[in-house]
Amino acid sequence: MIKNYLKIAWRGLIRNKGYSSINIVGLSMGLAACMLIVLYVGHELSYDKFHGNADNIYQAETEMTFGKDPIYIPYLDYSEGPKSKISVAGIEEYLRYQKISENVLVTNTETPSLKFSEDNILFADPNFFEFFSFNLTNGNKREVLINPNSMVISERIATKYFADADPIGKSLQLFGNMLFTITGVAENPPSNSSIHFDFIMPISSMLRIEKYKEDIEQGYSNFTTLFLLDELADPKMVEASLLNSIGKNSGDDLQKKYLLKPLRSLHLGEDWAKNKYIRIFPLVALLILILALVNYASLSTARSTTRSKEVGVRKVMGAPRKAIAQQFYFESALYTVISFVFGYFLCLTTQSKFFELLGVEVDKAFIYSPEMLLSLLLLLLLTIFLAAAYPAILLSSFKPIVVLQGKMSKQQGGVALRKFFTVFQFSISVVLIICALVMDRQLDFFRHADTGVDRENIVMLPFSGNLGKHFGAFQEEVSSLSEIVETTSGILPLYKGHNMMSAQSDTGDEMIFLPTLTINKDFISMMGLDWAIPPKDSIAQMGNKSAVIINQAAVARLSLKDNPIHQKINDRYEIQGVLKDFNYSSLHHKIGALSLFVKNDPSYAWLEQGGVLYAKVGPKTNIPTILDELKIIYQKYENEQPFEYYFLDDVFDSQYKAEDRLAKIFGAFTGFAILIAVMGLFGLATFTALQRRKEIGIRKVLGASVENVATLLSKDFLKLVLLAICIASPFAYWFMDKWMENFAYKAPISWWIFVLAGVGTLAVALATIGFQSIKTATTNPIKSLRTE
Amino acid sequence: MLLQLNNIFKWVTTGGQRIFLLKDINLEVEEGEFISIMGPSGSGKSTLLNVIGMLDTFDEGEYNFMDESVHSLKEKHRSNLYKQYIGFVFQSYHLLDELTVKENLEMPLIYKKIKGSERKAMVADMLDRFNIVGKKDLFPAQLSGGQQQLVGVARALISNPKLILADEPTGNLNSKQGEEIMELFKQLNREGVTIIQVTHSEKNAEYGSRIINLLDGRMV
Repeated sequence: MIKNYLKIAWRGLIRNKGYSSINIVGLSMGLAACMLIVLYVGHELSYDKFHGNADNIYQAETEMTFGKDPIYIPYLDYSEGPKSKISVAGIEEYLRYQKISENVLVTNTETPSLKFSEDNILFADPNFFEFFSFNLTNGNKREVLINPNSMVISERIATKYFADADPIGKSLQLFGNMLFTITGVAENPPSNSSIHFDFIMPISSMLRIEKYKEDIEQGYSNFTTLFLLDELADPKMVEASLLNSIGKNSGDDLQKKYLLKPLRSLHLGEDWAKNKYIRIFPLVALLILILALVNYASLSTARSTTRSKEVGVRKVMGAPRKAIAQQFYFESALYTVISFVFGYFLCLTTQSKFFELLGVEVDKAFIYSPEMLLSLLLLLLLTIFLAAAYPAILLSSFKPIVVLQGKMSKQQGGVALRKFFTVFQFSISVVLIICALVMDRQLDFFRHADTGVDRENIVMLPFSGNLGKHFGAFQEEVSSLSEIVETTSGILPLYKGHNMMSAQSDTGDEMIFLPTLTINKDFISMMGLDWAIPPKDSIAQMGNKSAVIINQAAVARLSLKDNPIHQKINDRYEIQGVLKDFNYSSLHHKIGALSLFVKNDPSYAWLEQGGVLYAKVGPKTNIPTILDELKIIYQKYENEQPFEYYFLDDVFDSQYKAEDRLAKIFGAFTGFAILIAVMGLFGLATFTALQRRKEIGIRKVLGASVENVATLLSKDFLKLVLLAICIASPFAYWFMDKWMENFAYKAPISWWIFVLAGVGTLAVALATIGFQSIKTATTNPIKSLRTE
Repeated sequence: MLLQLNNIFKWVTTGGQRIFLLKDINLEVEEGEFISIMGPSGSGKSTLLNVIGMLDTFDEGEYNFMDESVHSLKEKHRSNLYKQYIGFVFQSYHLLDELTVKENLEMPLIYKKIKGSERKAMVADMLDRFNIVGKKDLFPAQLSGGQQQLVGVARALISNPKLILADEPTGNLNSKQGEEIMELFKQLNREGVTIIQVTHSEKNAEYGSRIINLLDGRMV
């Protein structure tokens, strides 16, 4: 019987090519979009799950409260991990690691030409590979990191430095002249690991490196510390006993607390924007799937009039309703499976682009992992179930006597429901269009907002302490380039972070964290910052250690007098001038209090931790050329850290990466939704025209013109689309209003956005229906009126 | 006795008034009869046929089919009854366009849950009997009207019904094709199949052993 069903379904599919392809293309696109999202969300949710102990591993964090605002430091000191294991009940094991923040030059001593500047370098406790579940392709998990000179490298690094040769026993040189012997090779960490590494060396070797040794001995080291808890241990209890056992030692009056973050929460907990994606995306996926399904159901039932005779005949020939329902179920299943196969190919061919757009990397191994294949299989079953249900129920309900005598009126076969479907599809499309437009406006607003900073044509070159020693010469050489208009320097690239100092408000009852920028004297003029109260002395004079400049927000935050010149912060820093507020971080936030310290002698100031050279490039400069020149100069003074550069306006824009991604994804999905809706509408228009053939024939015989008929046919659909626009607009407004709450600075949601979305949708709908209407209207009525 | 209709009434209510489609129909049909129902358009011929075929219901009266009282049966039993004993032939053939001749014939057997090998034998037998073996892989659209109706009759016969109900079986055919179908009916009747047909044509009605005339839902 199933064979019979499939045969008929297949013949029907071949016979009605137009209808079938609309149905299949619509459904496969919807499914492809859904699959991409399933893969993405599945990947995000699978972070760190592959560790055998994943559910019992926690990362320790220190919360320090100082005045009102707590700050969180995701590290413990070198000694705190081991101490905790001994004194806190419930901690079974600990693991410390530290990722080197700067780049390190790595050399293969046998072939000195194999010399690269590397990041992803970790120092870790010897139990790293037992604690986590990273696999070693070579070496013993327990022993690889015991010897202080040992080193484990990832597979890609093994290939990079040793090609096909076995790297075990060979050495790499780091930190000047230290040699590490390779004892193990690890599989590259999977893309859903929040810990990435290329080189791992034992923590004990840090004690042989002067700059790390000092921090560790003085108790200022920062180690990411993870605890493996007893299965029965309560993390809250462990947090409390951590405070008792290791928290007491710090003598200052900071309020300190320890928090344990589950390993599995580290990835999504990091960043609100990512987290929101995880909530929005499945919703969008579901919406697109519903759209595609609605499209399918709508088209299948529209065809019911042509299928009704078949149902009648089958029933008279003895088919029970169950058999008819089954038949339509199988038919839908066939369509769905075909669409699914197309959709899967579409998904596989577009996934790399899609993930690139999202800025994530996803391993091939993950895409083809059993869990993901199982999820996709579930998606297939769900789709079959949903796609088939309505047509099967509706079509199998036809009474043979009614359909065989041709008494079935247009009102049967779910016309009202199809209207609802059309309105629903277009409402979703319009909501998406409006959202996409509003997001685009907001991003445009971000990019062109006047933030009080002149951010055009400024390139930032970060450098380390190595170069800091020769900073004067470096800056001199850069300034001498004819394309460079102006240079200045600072300790950190603007928009990429700032330091903090604690400051007491003028009333003395409150401590606040005051962001600080440390800059060279030319910074203020080069960035075009405006003075609210200019300093009395020249800026050059403000380089002395006790001088500070603040912004207007700081005046308010610290409750200072309106003219606070010569007032002191913390009884130590004398205010020399007040700058007008400018955005020193992203437009998500209102401008906060800020203090600026001016360094007159940058060569000295940037010596220790390095800094950033800001260079203003002339307006008509060839950018690649000047970058090459800058690189050559940079490399004269620095051979360990790679040459990096940022354009200030790019860095500013990149703060809205999350929004930019969201907008791009929305744009893509909007395209999807419109396409699906349009195809559905086209199909519906076709079938309506078919159903009304007789009516149109009569009208034409009675003298209706082509325009009359075309209008008649289009009018009903356009009404539905108009209704959809009315329904969608308030929803879209509400969504976007909510979204805008994320930003302190917003572009207005203007009326023209709604008009544009509405007119656009109507135009697309009209074009879709118009073709079919005119075709029907020009048909010779003799054809349609011939009795059957 | 094959079937018996006693005081059958069927009506629709329009604007508070009852319009009778069938009025006090009394009919007894013996096995082996060949009955023609005649009457002008709208006299209730097809309605009567549908009531007999259990496709349509009635509002009053009794209907006994092979000693089962149809009026008191549940929908499911009723459809089981007609599936087993009644074959339908339609004016516009109602063959399924997506199926070949062979598959159209096979369809009722599938719903009777007859095994594949047995189905094949029965279909082959029927193709043979109606001389349409050569057409078995063609689709209805590839056949002439007469051939399509031939398939329609073959399909009605394949599950060995006791009764064939034919609603103007020659209505869409030219005279020669019509004659052939009527000859076929006559032969089937001789072989023992009871036939009730609705027809407009005096000539076709003559093939039957008894003629029932209807006017405004009444037997006259």
